[in-house]
Amino acid sequence: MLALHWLCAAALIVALGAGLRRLSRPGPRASRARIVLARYATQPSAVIALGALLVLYILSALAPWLATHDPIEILAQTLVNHPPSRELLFGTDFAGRDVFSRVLYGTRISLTIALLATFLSVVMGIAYGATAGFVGGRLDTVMMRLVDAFLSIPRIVLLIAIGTLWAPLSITSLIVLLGLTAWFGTSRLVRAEVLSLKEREMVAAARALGARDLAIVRRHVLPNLLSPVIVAATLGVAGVIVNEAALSYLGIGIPDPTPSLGNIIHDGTPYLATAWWVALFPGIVLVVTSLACNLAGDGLRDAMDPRQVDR
Amino acid sequence: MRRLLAGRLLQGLAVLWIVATFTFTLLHLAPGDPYSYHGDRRIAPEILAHWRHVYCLDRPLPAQYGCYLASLARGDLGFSISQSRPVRDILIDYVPRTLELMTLALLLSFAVGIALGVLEARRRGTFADWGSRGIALFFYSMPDFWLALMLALVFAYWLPIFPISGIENVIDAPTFDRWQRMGDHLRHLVLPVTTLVLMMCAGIARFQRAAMLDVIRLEFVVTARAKGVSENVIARHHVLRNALLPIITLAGLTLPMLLGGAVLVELVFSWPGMGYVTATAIGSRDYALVTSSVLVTSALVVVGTIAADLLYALADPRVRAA
Repeated sequence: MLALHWLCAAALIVALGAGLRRLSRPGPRASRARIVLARYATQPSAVIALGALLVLYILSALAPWLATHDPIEILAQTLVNHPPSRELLFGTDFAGRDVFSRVLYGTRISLTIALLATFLSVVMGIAYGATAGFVGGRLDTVMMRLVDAFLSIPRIVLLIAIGTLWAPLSITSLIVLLGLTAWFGTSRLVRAEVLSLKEREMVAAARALGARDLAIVRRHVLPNLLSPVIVAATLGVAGVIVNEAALSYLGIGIPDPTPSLGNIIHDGTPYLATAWWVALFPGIVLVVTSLACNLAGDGLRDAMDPRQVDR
Repeated sequence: MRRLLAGRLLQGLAVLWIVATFTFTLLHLAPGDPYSYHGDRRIAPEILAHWRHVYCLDRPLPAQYGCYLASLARGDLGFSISQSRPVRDILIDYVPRTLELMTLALLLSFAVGIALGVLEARRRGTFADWGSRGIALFFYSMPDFWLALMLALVFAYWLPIFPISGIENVIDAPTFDRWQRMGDHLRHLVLPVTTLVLMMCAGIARFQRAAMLDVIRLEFVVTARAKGVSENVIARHHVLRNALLPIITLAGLTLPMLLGGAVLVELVFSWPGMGYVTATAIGSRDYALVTSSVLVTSALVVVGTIAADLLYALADPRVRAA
């Protein structure tokens, strides 16, 4: 699990690096990037959100050092549903496990799953949407009707159905499941972008110069998809982390004793009246993460696409 | 108008067919079949064989698919292993409760959302606008089940104002007269509906605000203002009326979110609706019930979307004429 987290951190750094390289490319692009960064920086809520996300990520990455106890160790029979104290910051759960440590580790797992699943869903969404939009015609119609059908199923119902049929899910299959059910919206967005990009003069020019379809997609279509997709991905993380929590809350996500934000809340639910701290703290982390993703996504959209800015 | 309706119905049927094919694929790919798992209960092999025969599971795949679609068309959704009765009967019992919850939540969240959106648009840039959007986004970001739990904690445990679960006070209900019973039922509705409304109204307010701001800049609004029409009248007659149209489309689009939210909210408040019965079927791996809930929610969404499209056509004379 730790290895997965570091892999995820590495992927994030590579992605950021690639983004920065793109941004620092000379020419008119660079100035636009600087404009985007500057516009993002002028939005206090977006900057705070980004800061909160970074803090959460670093805290969860440092879980082994910050945790005051072993997250799955049962401390003592007498320490069951113990209220928060100086020793036990967030109290203990019904089994006598330290909630603070569980929340730290749970955040790490939930964030990792959300990031990887979102990455998967974005790749799926781009591939599917770009194909449908670029090829067009009957294929486009069929592909989009399929997306319509999937969008008509509430995501959580779909997740429950698949989760029930294949329970218990491993973490890898959970990531795949969450990723494979999150791309429908992105693919629609990408298709719409591709449809408009396809009609631009640069594509006609490239075609006139004899460029092949694949080259056009790579050189002209995909780079221009970057902004809307980054925004969709940021907003998507919020959705995925909430859905993962819901699945674990229902008992078909991460199985006990491994902590995830959802299953800590699940553990606290039967004792809500007496041991409210078990369900409260992981929920606060969830809200902060999801709120920060939403704010950062809004900020990014306003920074990248001036047409969308609130008037 | 009639052609529009026919077209939408056809599209809706296509969507349902795709979803049915998808659930069939799921059922086929899943380990075992709907009748291979029954927990600690013993079911005679002859009965299982009978069920498999009734639902064509002993025949080749294309025949199974045809059989599945045919039984769906007849309204036969399979046999629920966890409740030992046909899925259709279970849904007939539980779906109305979900519809009740959803209709109330939908109406209230649109009322609140539109009001907030109008307020935000008229006071844009002020503290009220900023604060209202912030609070709405806060609730929007909240996991629905956790919001439900926290509302239960505060308004049912700490301040015992509202009942925590169910649809009526089981102990006292028999002694209630009609009005008391209705009041009791409404009290049980408060927390689940509040959760859904808090969750939903942010998106609606945001949409409404953007729609208002789109219209506010148009020339006829400027003209009205130049003629000395009061701001209130402009907001109500010129702007809101035009900005309400796009929100009808949103009503169709929010249905999946509302239904999904209802599943978890029903579970938290033990509201005996479709989401509750589905979530409780997870443990018993009730294939038929779980996949039927996929079909039924998707059917509800399709019907809702068609209704929204028709409403839009009725409200907008340009679409009606086309």
